Formats: sequence, C-alpha cells, structure tokens
Amino acid sequence: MKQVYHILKYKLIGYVKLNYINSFSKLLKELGSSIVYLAFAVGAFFFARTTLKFVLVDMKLGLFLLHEFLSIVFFIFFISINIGNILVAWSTLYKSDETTYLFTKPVKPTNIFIIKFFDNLFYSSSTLLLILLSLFLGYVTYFELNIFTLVFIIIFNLLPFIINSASLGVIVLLIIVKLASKFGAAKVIGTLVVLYIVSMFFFFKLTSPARLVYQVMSQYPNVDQYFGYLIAPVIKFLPNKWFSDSLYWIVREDIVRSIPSTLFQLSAAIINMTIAVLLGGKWYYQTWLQNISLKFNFIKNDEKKVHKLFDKLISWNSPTAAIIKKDILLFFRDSSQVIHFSILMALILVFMSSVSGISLMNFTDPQLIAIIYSTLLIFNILLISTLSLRFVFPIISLEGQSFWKIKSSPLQIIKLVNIKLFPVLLSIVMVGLLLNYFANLKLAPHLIIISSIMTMFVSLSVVMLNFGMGVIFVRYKEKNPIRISSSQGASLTFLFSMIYMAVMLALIIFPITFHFRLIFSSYYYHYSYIYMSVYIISVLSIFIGAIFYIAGIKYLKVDF
Amino acid sequence: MLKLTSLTKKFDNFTAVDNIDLTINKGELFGFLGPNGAGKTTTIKMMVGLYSLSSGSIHLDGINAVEDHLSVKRMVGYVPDQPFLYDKLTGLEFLLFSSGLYNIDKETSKKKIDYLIDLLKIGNWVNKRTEEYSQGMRQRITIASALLHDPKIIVIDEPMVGLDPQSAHIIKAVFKQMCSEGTTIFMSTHSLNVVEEICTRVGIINLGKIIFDDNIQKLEELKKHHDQNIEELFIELTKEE
Repeated sequence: MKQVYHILKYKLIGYVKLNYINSFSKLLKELGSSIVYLAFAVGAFFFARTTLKFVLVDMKLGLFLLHEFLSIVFFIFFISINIGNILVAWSTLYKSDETTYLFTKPVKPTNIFIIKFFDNLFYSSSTLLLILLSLFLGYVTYFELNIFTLVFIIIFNLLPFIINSASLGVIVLLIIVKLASKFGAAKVIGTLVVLYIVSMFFFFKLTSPARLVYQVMSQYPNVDQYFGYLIAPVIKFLPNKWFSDSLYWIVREDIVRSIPSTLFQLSAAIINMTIAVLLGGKWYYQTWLQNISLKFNFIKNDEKKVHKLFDKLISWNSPTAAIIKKDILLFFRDSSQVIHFSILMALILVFMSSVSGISLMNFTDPQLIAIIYSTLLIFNILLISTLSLRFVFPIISLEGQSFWKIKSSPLQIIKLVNIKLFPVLLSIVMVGLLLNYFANLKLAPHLIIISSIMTMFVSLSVVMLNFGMGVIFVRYKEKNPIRISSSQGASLTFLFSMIYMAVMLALIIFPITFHFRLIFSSYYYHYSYIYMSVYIISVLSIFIGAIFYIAGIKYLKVDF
Repeated sequence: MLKLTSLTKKFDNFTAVDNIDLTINKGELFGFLGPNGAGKTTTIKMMVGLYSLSSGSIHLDGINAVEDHLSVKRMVGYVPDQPFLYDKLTGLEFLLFSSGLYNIDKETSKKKIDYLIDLLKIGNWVNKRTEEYSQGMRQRITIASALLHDPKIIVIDEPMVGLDPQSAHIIKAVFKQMCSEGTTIFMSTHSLNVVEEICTRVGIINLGKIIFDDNIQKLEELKKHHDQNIEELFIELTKEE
C-alpha cells in the first residue's frame, strides 16, 4: 500500500498544481464555473422537491410507484456508469502513457490497477455525485427526514451503488480483453453489445411502467403500500431495485425493512470490488501485454480493405473531403467511439419504439397530456444534449497534438469548423427529428411540424454550445473522448444545456397546456401562444448558437 | 525570400523572442541554432502560423504572413519538433490527407506520394497505422507530408531527432538537392555537425535574441580564430552571464 500512497500523493500534487489559480482569467473561469455548479445544485434541489410534489400530490401516484420509477432511473444510471467505466478504464488501464511509465518501474500491477480504478471512478463520477447530492438533499427535505438519513443514503446506498456499477464495468473489461485474445476483439465486443441491448430490452419489458401504474392505481387510495408481488422476481436481484427499496422503507420510517436492501447493496459492492481487484492482480499485467499484440494483429488483417472501401466512397482531394474522410476513419477505428455510439443509438431506438405507443386516446386530462408532451420534448432535448456532449464537445480536442497539420495548412478556421460541424449537426438534427416524429405520432400529430421546428433550432444551439465550450475548454493532450466528455468543461456545458432546457420548458408548458385545454373543452385548436413561444425559442437558440459558434472560432485562433 | 522584422513574442511577462531581424534568401539552407529555451521553436511557430506575433512582421516573397496567412501557408512546408500524427490513420492516409489540405489533384498527389515514398524509403510500413511507428518513421512521414505541395520554403524544427544514421543521411541529401533547385530551408537544430555539413548560413539565438547571423564560412573563420571546435564555440557564444 506504501506504493499506492506514494503515487497517489504525487498525482494529487500534480492535480493541485494543474488547477492552481495563478491568473485573473483563470480566477474568473473558476468563479464562473463555481457559480454555474452552485446554481445547478440549487436547481437540482428544487427540481427534486417539485417533481416529488407533482408525483405524490398532483398525480397522487403514491410512494410505491414513485420508488419504482426511481428504480428505472437508477437502472439507467447503473448502465451509464457501467458502460462509461468500461470505456474509460479501457483507455486509462491499457492505453495511457502513465500506465506504460509505471510498468517500467518496480510497481506491482495490482497497485497500478487500484490507482487507475479509483482515478476512473472519481474522475467520471464527480459531477454526477454533485448533482445526485443536491437531488437527494431535495428528496430528504421533502420527506422531512433528518440530515443523518441523507448521510446514510449517500454512504450506504449511493456510493456502494456507484462502486458496484464501476467494479462490474472493470470486471467486464478484464474479461473482454482476456477473451478477445482467444476469440478476436470484434466477436467479443459485438457479443457484449448485443448482451447489453438484450438486457436493457428485457428490463424494460419486465418492468413495464404502464402496466404497473394500472395495477397499482386499481388499489387507490392505498397506493403507498408495498406491492412487491407486482415486481418480476429477477428484478429484485438488481442493485437499482435494492437502492429504490431501501429509499422506500426509509421514507416509510421503517429502517429495519430498509436494512436488507442496504446490506445487499453494500455486500455486492464489496464483492464486486474484491473480484475486480483480484482479477486485476491476476490478469491486468498479462492482458496489458496481450492488448498490444492484439492491436497489431487486427491492423494487419483489416487496414487495406477499409482503405479501399473508403477510397471509393470519398476522395482525399479537397480540404473538405480530406477532413470528412479523416474524421470518419478516426471515428470508426476508435473502439470507444463505436461502442458508445452503438449503445446510444440502441437506447434511442428503444426510446423511439416506447414513445411511439403513447396515444392521445389514453388520456382524459388535458394537463396530463401537456405534461407528457413537454416531458417528451425535454427528453428529446436531453438526448440531443447527451449526443452533442459526447460527439460534439470533444470534436476539436480529438484533433489532438496532430492539429499542427491542419493549423499550418492553408485552410481558414471558419471553413474547418463548418466542415467538421456540418455532418455532426445534420446527424443530430435527424435523430432529433425522428425522435420528435415518433413521440408525437399518436400523442399530438398536429404538433409534429411545430415540434420539429423547435427541435431543429434547439439542436443548432446545443451543438454550437458544445462546440464553443469544447474549444474554450480544449484538451489536445487527452486522447480519450469519454474523459474529454466528462471533464470540468464538459460538465459545465451539460449544466448550461440543462438550464437552457429549463428555460424551454418554462416557455412551452403554459401555451401547450392552454392548447390542450381548449381542444378538450371546445374542440378548438388554438396555436397563437405556441407560435409565440416557438418564435422566442428560435430567436434564443440562434442567439445562443451564434455566441458559442463565434467564441469557438475565436478560441481556435489562439496559439497552438 | 523570407524576412523577419523586429519579430517579438511575449507570453505574459516573459519575452521568448525579442525583436529579431533575419533575412533568408532563395536557395539558402539556414541553420538556426540555440540552446534549449532560446526561442527557436517559438520563432518557427510564428513563421508557420501556429503562434500569433506580439509585434514585428514576417514576409515571404513580399507577402505579409499575418495579413495573408493562407497564401504564405501555401508556400511553406512545415516539420514540427515532435512528429505528432493521427494514430489511427496509416502513413499513406496521412499523406493523402495532407495533400487534400493543399488541394492537390488526385494524379499529382499519387505521383508525388509515390516519389516521396521511394525517396524517403517508407514503402514497407506506409500502409500501417502510425500508432505502430517509431519516432524515426513518424519523422519521415512528417517530412514527406511537408514536401507534398512543392513548397518554396521548408521550415523544420529539429529534423534529425530520432532518425537512424541511414535516414539522417537520406534527409540531408534531400535537403541539399532541394536547395540546389532553389528551395529555401529554415532548419532549427541542435546538431552542430549537421549545420557544418549542409548549411550555407547560420543564425544563433540565445535568450530570444539573435547573437550570430552570417554564412558558414564566417563561422569557420571564428572557429579558427578562437582555436576551438564548433561545439566549444557554440558554448562560448551562448554562455549565460
């Protein structure tokens, strides 16, 4: 352990020195970031309280359904942290210069593994933790629980939950690398992606929120009691369910019944972490060496074929074609990009198929329809923001230190930016439009065009926001797109997107509610308030987009 | 050909390049010497458009490198001190990408790449991803990418780092030939032997200021006059007070 402390000590010194405020501009940047973080933490706190009030008081769904919804949210969190950790651990454990350096020194591979494991965990989860803390503070104060309960939830439920997910991610990664040397990387990774998609599909099939709401609401007004028999047995063995069950019993002030779920969570975290460390000690160095030879074999077989195929599709003979072709090749040759892209696309497809079934015919309350419409719109923007954060924010950083070639070539910065942004913008707009189409297909088909216009403007502004912030917080030395997307600048960008989303919601919710009320009361389709909101949203989006586009170009012109 | 006038670069309170003047003529092979941190790379980065100028000007064939930077960039071939390449591209793809940035048509690009592959002996591994390359391989690909568009001036920062003797020999021969054909070369280097062997003019920079700028014969005279070899003379000239 002495080695671990020694290395961690110098990592900490390096971190402090890197973040040391030594100039006025850095002070302003840090101050600005802190204000945004604080504002967002406050926003998250009030969001939690408002949502709880809406679900429990306005909708009267009861404590059981609330915690079942939380269980679904926790499942999505679990998968996100898990996949994120697999991809980040892949590059930090196997591809970083730091591990290469440490392996040339007499440092035990287990120690390197432990250091990188915690490095990944806290690096990619720090912003998430801040938001979750604020949300849980809102949760605890809403139910008038004391501060010790918050500490109990964080230490004995939230942290083990995150460690569980991250440990499992590292275990999966070690197994992938181990198996890949035997069966080939493409086969193993392909199988894993299919397994994840199938698991997600079955989870949503088994949980079926709509069926659960129907079954629980049939017991109204006794909706606060525990309807465990409605939950599929296999779901009860999942960490997200332990977490939500523990919260449910805490809120019911029945601590004794919350203990089993908490103990399951803690035990699973300890077991998974122990397995990860043991496997790391046994396989890490061995697989680290294998990884290098694996990479070489893959190249020999594949490179010329891919090159010939792309040559037929796009030439290299103009700056536009050359940059697009280079970006496509780099994207599809980076396993972390391809895996993350495939999983996100699969999630979007699942979302599309789920929302396409929501029909206006199922509801009689205009306010509820307005809320569902707005929620779907916001969810659409959230997906656009996630895609932008993941694929637009790192777009300049990923040029890396090789950017000298483009910067010293006779290519205008503005042209470069347009070439790089246009294909991504187009793809994100297309995804947004498709999501919007399927979400409104049965719910509000008469609003599809209006929603599409909003989606286009929002996509434009969110993409530009991510581009601009990505340039302002550029990190040419970081090769891992996921680490770039979870850096301080990226977190700040996501918070900006959330604030923008809140503004959008405020602008659209009242005109939409009014619109559906008139339809239900007098079959009258009233649009003028919606048009006004769309107009404001469009102007605001263009304004935000233009600011960050110009800022990005300006910052791209600074010394390289 | 290349004219640097009162060129200055400041980073906050630190002056990296301090009011330097240099004129380099067509066909000259200019060796730019200086100890670590003297301002060589900073000067070069300003010349190729990677750094802004704090003051002064750079002209290439009478064209201002700040006002019309695209025209100047078309005339310059740049080789950086660290040959960073896109790891996931092959060497050939990097060369094709580079030719695209200069709008070179397909036929010309193909001929030129074939010629450079042959000249720099990179045919054996040009179809492998650059992440597999050694420093010397990367260096040769970078040099090839700088020569693709037939630049009027080649600006090179430490060209011999990481090259094996065979590669260094090839590069030196290529540079000499290019100069004889009228290309100007501005080469920053630590290798005093290379300067003696191939350069026609030498400039020495220390603490951001030019302390020597003359032809190679003058340097030889100085050596004889002080009865020193070039290494001793360089240490003497760049000695900090």
